[in-house]
Amino acid sequence: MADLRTEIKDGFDKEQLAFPPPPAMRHEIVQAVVSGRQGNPVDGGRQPNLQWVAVAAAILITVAIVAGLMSVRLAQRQVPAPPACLWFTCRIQSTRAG
Amino acid sequence: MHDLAVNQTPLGLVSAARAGDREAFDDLVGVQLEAGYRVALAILRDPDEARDAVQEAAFKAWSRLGQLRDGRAARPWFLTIVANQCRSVRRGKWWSVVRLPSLDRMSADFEISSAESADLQRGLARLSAEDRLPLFLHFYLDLPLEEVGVVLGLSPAGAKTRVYRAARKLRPGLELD
Repeated sequence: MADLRTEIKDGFDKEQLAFPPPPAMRHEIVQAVVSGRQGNPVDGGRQPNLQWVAVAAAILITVAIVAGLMSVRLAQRQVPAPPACLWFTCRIQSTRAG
Repeated sequence: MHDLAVNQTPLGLVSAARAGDREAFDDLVGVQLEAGYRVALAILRDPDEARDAVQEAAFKAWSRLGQLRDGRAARPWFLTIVANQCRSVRRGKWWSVVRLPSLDRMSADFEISSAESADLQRGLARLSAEDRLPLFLHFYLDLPLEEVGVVLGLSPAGAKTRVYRAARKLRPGLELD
């Protein structure tokens, strides 16, 4: 297990050595956070999260499509004309007459 | 400078940071940024995304400083925020094509000394982010299982299981001691 620990540590070490932390990262991020919280947004700070806009747009488009399809279907529906004489009413009338 | 790695966080430091004291925030979170970047790099495997994730995590940490009022340790608390931010970034890329450019660059940057270490290196590269995280926290950052559990949202026993389960994927015959 000790060997594996060393090997895993070495493996991650090789990955990490390729991309060390940016030298000024700590200073820049702390400065950005503190400045941002004091009402002075810093370039490169938090980006506005616009995912909710995309979700709202998707919902609106879906509702519009469904409403459009339903309205077209309702507009094209043909109401059958009332029959002039149903079979059984005609038969009753002929029986009474006859 | 306070030892915030394993000790409880001084409440005065939390209050000062919340009041806008730059030095206090640096003592609380600034000292954790390098570890946070390394965790993010291990999960995201992209240095630019890792830096962005750490910065976003720092903003979230500031807004959640109140969580440290109960005296919990700052390091696992911040690394939890970083890990969650990285998961959010990965979820946000669900529609993108899976690519590992940084790993290719990493591979070109170092030489593999032996076949065994080459196998392990390839095994580490193939592991999922959820398997790499416990190994990285425990074996690379030397976090105790209690802190690994905090970051993963598990008990220490659960964290131990996760560490060994991931290690077995690298060495199938590994026995739990």
